[in-house]
Amino acid sequence: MEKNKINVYLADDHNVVRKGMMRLLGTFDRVGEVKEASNGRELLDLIEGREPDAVIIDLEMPVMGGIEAGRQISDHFPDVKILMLTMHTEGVFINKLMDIGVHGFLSKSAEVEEVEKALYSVIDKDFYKNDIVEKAIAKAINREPEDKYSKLTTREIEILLLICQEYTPGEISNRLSISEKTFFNHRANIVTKTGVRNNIGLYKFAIQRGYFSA
Amino acid sequence: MAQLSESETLFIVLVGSTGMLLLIVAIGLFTFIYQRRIFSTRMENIRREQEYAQNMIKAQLESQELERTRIGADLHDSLGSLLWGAKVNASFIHRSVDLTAQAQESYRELIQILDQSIDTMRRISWELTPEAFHHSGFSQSVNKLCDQLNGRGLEVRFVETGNQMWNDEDGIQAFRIVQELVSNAIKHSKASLLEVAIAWENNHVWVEVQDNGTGFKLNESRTGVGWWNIEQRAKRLKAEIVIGNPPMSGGSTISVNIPLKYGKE
Repeated sequence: MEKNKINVYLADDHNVVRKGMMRLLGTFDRVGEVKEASNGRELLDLIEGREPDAVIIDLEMPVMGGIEAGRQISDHFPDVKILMLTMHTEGVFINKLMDIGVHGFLSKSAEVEEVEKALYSVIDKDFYKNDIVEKAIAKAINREPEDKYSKLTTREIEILLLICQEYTPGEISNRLSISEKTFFNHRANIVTKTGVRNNIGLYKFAIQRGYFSA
Repeated sequence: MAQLSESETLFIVLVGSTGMLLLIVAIGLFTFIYQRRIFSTRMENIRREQEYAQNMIKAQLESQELERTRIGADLHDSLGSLLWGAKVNASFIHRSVDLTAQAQESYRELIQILDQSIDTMRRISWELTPEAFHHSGFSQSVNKLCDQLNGRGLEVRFVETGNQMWNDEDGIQAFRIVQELVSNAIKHSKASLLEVAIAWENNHVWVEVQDNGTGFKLNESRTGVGWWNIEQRAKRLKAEIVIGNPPMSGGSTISVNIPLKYGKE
């Protein structure tokens, strides 16, 4: 495991595609060690051995698919950022996966360069915002049950909005002249109050509640 | 031979004719019952044959749907992944070597070709199995179908009055009818404009596909797989198909009136 570098595990059932992705990941400046798995089960075994910083998962895999793997990783290894690679970008799937705790999505029809951008984004900002996410949330607006969360304080809303604008924890602490520790305390409170899992959940929450518009 | 008395003769004649009569009645009864039995067996056979034919059609339509789902999913998941793999590898080569201006151009074109392949593949696979039909429903799927056809040398308009979520098995059947009608119009009518209209009413929905092409010969019998598909599906939905030529524009109009069943799901 390399320090200060992003260690990534990759799960994809297509051999050639996986090899190609491994090579590509190797060319990214900030990427450290890369390991591969051919399905969700193998990926979980790898993670149980040692936690990576991020995983890139193909949604469609035999043995254990991306949805189940995503759910288990999110439940048992909440620090691992999950990027889902998929052909299915229909709102229903994406919303379901966001609720499970997936941090970002990449379409197989996207630019390959987006992989690097998305990977850095889930590491730095805890989520990756792209049109797949925007479209899915737009479709799910006003479909949430009525208020069951305790009200956010002004400070918390301020922080929520900065997170939505894709500022990193460092940047937000600087702007608000608070320590990063304080930032994370605030964020933890927001997460508890809203009942979401991570920043993509906060982003979805903010849009659905009308705090933020994309 | 002893002379029979008159009463004896009468008795014999009476008994004889009664016997004959009974025999005739018995034969008649037998023939009647026999005929009825033959008739009912024949009816039963016809009924069975019809039932069999209906089941065959149902099975045929269902296996068609299954086959489409399989091919659609295969295309989408396998081919989609492989094309993505090709892009990833192309990108790696691009990152690893300094390319000449010409090679740069070739690389860009390669990526374009792969992107177009992915788009085409997605469209075909969607047409085979409308992804998430249960979530999008009939109207949205028809709308998307029209969108996808637009701009390929053809203008396709979508009009809807009223709005309902129709996403059950019947909705898929209805969507398949629209798909066939639209693809027929494109294939055979040489139209430049196509209009697909959905009108929701209380207990039925009207779907109309109108084109400005060469028109329909109304007396011509419609054979072919496309029409077979349309007619069988219409029969299952108890829908009525009306074919006409629009008064002004030439071309043809096909309307389908589909009754909606509520509370059956």
